[in-house]
Amino acid sequence: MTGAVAGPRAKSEALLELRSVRVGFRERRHEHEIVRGVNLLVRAGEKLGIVGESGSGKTLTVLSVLRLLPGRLQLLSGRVSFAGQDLTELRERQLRQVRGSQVAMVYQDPMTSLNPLLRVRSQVVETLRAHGAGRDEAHDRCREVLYQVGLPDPERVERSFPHELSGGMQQRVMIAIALSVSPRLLIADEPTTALDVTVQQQILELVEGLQEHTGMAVVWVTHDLGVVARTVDQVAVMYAGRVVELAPTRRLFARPSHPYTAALLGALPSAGAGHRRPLTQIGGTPPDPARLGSGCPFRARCRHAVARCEEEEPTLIGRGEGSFAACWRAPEEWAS
Amino acid sequence: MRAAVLEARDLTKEYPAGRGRTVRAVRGVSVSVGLGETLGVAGESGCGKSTLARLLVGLEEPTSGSVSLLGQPLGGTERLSLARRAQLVFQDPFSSLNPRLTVAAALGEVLAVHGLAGGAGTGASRVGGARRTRSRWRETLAGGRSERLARVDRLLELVALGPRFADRYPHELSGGQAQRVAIARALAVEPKLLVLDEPTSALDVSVRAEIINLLMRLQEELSLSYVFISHDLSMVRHISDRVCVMYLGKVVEQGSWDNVLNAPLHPYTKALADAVPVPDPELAPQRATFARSAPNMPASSEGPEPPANTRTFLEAALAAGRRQPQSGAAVPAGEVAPATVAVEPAGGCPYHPRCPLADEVCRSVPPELTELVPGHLVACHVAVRAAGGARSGEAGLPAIERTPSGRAGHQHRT
Repeated sequence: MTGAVAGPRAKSEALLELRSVRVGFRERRHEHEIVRGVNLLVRAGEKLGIVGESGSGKTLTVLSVLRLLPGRLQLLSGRVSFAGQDLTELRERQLRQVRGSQVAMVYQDPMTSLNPLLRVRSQVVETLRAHGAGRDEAHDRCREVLYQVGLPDPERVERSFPHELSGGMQQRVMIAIALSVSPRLLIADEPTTALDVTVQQQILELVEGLQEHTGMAVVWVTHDLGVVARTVDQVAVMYAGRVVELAPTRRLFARPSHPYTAALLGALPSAGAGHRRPLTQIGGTPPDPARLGSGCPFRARCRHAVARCEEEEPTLIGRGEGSFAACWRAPEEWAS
Repeated sequence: MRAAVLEARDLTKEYPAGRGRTVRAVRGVSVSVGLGETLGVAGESGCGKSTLARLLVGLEEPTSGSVSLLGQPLGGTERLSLARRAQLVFQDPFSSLNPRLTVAAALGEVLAVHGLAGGAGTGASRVGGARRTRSRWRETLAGGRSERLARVDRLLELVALGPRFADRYPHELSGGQAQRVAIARALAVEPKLLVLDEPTSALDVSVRAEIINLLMRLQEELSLSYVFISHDLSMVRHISDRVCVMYLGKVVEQGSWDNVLNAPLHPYTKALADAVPVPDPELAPQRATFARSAPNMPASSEGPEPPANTRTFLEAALAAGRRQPQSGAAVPAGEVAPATVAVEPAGGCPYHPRCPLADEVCRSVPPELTELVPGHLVACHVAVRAAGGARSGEAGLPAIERTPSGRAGHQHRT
């Protein structure tokens, strides 16, 4: 739980690297971009949070890693490398070896990921068998992982159908399936959004504990700043298909470098904000990523925008302490 | 105490659950809301919040108990006159707005049904909303069209939407705009009370702030009373004057927002408040001290304890029990049941299967809601005993320490 990017961890190997990833769809000869050039780096054992509001492209970014983009959405350009291997060059069959065994995903709604017609055991065993385990081995391992994720009565859960389990238990089963093959990276896409806070807390604690135990890297995708505050080392804030701020967690919350991050933090009610005091509003609505003009996509909602913001879209600029923001103006220059 | 706008006494709602069994979604709930006051209702899914909301505005008949609005009982009043006093705003504006009606039509419909503008009587215009097409709607509007449209504009202005939104359909609105329209529609009948059932939960963070600010402004301007129902404790904390916390259909704690959320007396309230992730990494390490207990893996060292002087009785009690109020056993160990169905324990306190402080008494005797501090009610044997001990001048927590064995039998397997 120590320093995010500084220190010995900085030297450890890059596990997942996204370079200029663009996601969208092609219509005739025109490319419609939704994710507009994302660069991210996750080192072994590191925890990265991707935060953004709906439509910011955070989910599409992570889906592009394992080529799981829905419908006609596709990776338009860019490189996704995992442990030195370029995933974009792999054939479907080769990629299947990476999915699950190297990189596992957990989604928001466990009920849509679990097969309602199969008992939990079949679904866990199916995964293990697909990754080469023998039948007996798979059955033993199944019970073991269900126990590991803190399910109270693994024997009974094993025999249950998904609908017989609560939402929290279903999500634990999903995590058990994800972890059954000991992945090196877990991508969790809003895994607790559909759950009650007390259940969310259990799931967060579970993943934290497992992460510490196994040393796997974790990418959390969430809209909840409270969740990332306690869960990750580094946060990437996305807006209109781009990373607008990337910073170590503590730094991001203490001193945000992008006006959008600052506005998001200001919009949260907190114990210190004063009872019934008006919350800071951002105003306006996010732009349609398919219809962006030139300039910074946040400029229309930004209180600190200047002429340059209209003309030129900023790229990530270093603001010290490992913090980067896509904003022409340093926080010191912001209008008060 | 401000004059009560809403008074609910001993509300119980039972639903048949098949095979002669019943689910008691709401069990003996009494709440009141004063003029211009906000009552926050917090609790997890399945705790009966939404059933309570429907009972309070008369959408459901209580199995027993009564609701009165502005001193008049709900049961006897006509549905329409009741609707004018209390309105419900739902979580998802897109599912509560008719996709085939423009904003103006949706708002105008309410005015027409209630005969509020344009003279059409209530009886004549009571047409099935779902089936009405736009042309049919024009007929209904025919009467006082201009007056009604002017009123629609005023309503839109009230929720800070311009008149240009009048001709839009719900799919042309953002989530925040749609929720504003839903609020405007509720306000069209000039109610005294709004029951807001998770009004911000479906919205993005930046939009939530807008809706909360709007609700607070409207409350000031129109002296509205609110029942604000949410699982989001930080929102409940921000907007509420008083808070009640529900668990399995019962109110387990009730009082001023400050007392209930900053100095909770019920272990469940504490667990709920602690479970909310705080957007402050500086606070995260302390909160994560019991993080390692969830997975069945080697535990790491314990974190720092909070300084003794800031401890509430609950923190002290929980420290004495060497356990935090952890919601680990959402379902009693060994039991596999959907948490969304209220499964009552056989007896005693409904929270005892999850409670780290539960003892023999908690397992057998259901606690009564007791006023421990003026205005602060709690349904917890342990809290009541601790308060009794404090009053008689005993130091520490004798009541809790007297029954350490009670906890031992209830260790959740980890």
